[in-house]
Amino acid sequence: MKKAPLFVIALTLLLGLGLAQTLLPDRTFSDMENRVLAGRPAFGLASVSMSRWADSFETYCADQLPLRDQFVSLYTAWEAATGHRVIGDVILGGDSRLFDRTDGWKARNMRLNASALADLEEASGLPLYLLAVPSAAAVYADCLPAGAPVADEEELLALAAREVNVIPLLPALKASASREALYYRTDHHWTAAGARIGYERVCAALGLSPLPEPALAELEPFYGSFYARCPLPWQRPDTFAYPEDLPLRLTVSGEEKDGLVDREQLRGRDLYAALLYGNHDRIELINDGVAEGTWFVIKDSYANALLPALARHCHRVVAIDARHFAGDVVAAARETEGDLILCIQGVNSLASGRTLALLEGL
Amino acid sequence: MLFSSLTFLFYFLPAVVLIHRLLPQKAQNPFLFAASLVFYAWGEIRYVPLFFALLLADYGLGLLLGRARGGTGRKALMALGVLVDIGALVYYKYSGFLLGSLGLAGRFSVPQSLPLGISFFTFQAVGYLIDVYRRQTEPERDIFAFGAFLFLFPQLIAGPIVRYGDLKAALHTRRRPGAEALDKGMALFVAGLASKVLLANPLGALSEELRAVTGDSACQWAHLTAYTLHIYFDFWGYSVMTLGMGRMLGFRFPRNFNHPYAAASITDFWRRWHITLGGWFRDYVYIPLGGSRKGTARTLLNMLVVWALSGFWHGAGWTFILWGLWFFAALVIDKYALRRFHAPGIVRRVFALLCVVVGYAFFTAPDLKSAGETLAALFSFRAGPTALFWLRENAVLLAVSVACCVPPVIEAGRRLLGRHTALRCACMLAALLICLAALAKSSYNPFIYFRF
Repeated sequence: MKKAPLFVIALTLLLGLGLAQTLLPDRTFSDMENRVLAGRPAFGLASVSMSRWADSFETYCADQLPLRDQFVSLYTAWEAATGHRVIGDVILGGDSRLFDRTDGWKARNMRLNASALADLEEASGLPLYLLAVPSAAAVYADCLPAGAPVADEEELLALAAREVNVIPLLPALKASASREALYYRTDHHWTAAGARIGYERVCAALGLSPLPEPALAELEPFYGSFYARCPLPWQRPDTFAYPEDLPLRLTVSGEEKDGLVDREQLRGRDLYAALLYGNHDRIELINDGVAEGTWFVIKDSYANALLPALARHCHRVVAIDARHFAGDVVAAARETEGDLILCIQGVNSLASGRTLALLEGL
Repeated sequence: MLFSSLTFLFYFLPAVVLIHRLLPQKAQNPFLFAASLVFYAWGEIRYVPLFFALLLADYGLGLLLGRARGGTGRKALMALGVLVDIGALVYYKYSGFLLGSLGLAGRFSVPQSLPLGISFFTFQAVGYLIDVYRRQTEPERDIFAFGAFLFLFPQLIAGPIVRYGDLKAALHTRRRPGAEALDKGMALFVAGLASKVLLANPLGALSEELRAVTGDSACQWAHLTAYTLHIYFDFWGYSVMTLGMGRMLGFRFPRNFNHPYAAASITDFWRRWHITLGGWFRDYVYIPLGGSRKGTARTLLNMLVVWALSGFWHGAGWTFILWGLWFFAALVIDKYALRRFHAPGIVRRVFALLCVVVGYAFFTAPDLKSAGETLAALFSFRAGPTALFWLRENAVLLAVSVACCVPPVIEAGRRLLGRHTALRCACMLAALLICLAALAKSSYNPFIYFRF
């Protein structure tokens, strides 16, 4: 040991980690990564399967590395300490804010998705409104490092406005950004305060009077999706706020739920996924306090913080999630016999893929 | 199996080093051969028959060459050996390219993947057979020792290309490295791992990031500069890990790099870069062709052949051949213009660095058209703000990388760590931990379906 200290310590460390990996029980799920981890592959003697077995074993070793989350956190800290401001496609901004890297968003995707919405409006015969929720980078641009790789979201929104009726939102968010936290620091979603501004903009567009904000319950700490991708040890957490009780009934994929929030999910890390029980192909909100009015909504997860407030203005909201909905969207809109179509999507959904353009029936 | 994989680090390396050290001499070569076979089969089991076929062919031909007396017979045996090894290399590495170039693509089935390390171990085998033919060494009679020489896992996938004479003595002694060798070996291994994981990998990512901004002059210059550093720290890292593992197993492999980016000229650069490959081409191609002893025209022809082959060795494509010829041109300019007319040292240094950096436009391009586009972008002098952002983002990485290319900096670090054992251990263990953290992060893959 005295004569070869580095050899002894390093080999002990490597052997110890290998031994710990062999002896410790395997983890089945990574909460941080939101995925099932690889299990120990069964060894097949057939030589042809050896390479596949070796590949599976490599994946297993990586997934079951002892102290894996701590190691990932250590390397993230190393990257930040060596001056990196873009880690795991997350941008480290001022005021402990994390942002999505958005320079890969495409104007062509936005055009195709907006054009699909215009087709839906024409085919269904219902008025359609698009509430495109910008990313935190567009709202808190002054917190971004100079020259950060982000898309010009105003330009993307202008492209959408050529095709459909876009409810203006970005200016209102920017105007309030310095007064309150409209987006989570560690998550890509907007907060209840941000969603409230979205709600007011929709009300203004539809000629409705906004109702008073319901009481909010708070939970902390909340470490969201950005933190999962960039787990800095010194990251300031968020406080998650959600509406406590609203007199609405929620049906998710045909099953009636007890309340609007998944209480089980509130015990996990991804608190935002508790709103409206996460993302599903079709949900319905029924408001027994209002006798008429049906809205057909095409949504993504941004809408989950907003829909309960909107549902207080009509009897029924039928909402489909374009990423999970497999049916004919035009037929679904017609069958709803609604008064209007509201599309609530993040700009990232609209510009990073062609989900709407690929919907059946369009 | 990669040296930077967790399987290798947690299981293979500790087990092999410890067991090898405990074994008696007669069991060490069979054990190393078996370990190398497992190492090879781990990712390439379908090529194990090729592994054994080349082993038996080269071993047998070596013995026959040792016994044969007649000049013609020996020459034929040597030619047969070269044909077998180079034939295997051509078949696996170049058949697709050659058939495509002849307009015969699709008419014959060609291998879809390259056997791991084939460019290295075939050259090593050819070198061995030529050395036996030239009677510079005796043929190896112990098949396990020969197998351990040809396929020794530390140098199997990325060299160095070792001459049999360099390992012969170690292969026939009881290898029981002392404490100093074990400690030095581990330090080299960790330094190499850090070079690969903490410098080369992020430099590669930076290079790719900048490469994607086509048409931007600053980005393309920065891309090639980052690639210049990336390829060095990647290859140097592997080579240093090889040296370290060699020490821990009782071998001393030759150095493959000697601060190449501090070269005084492009001629000097090639004496410092991939030294064992350069030595192979010198000893087995350039000098047999006549070297520089047959006049200027013949010297130029010999250089042309060597550099075209050297480029081709690096990859089966016209871009690699052009890359080799690029250096032929650079070496001719250096030899017959800069040196002859006593150009100032700084001119030769800058010329060397420019040749290396711009040369990677060929090396990194998937085809000639892309290489042309990169070269055109380099000299278009149109630039946006993107390069500046990424250079600032990677300022520490680039500064450390450049510093690690400067010999006095490396020497000062080596002296400092050599004097203070506790500091050396602390630095190396910290580096090892951060490397493990980087490897963990590389497999970290948040599934964020919920991101939208």
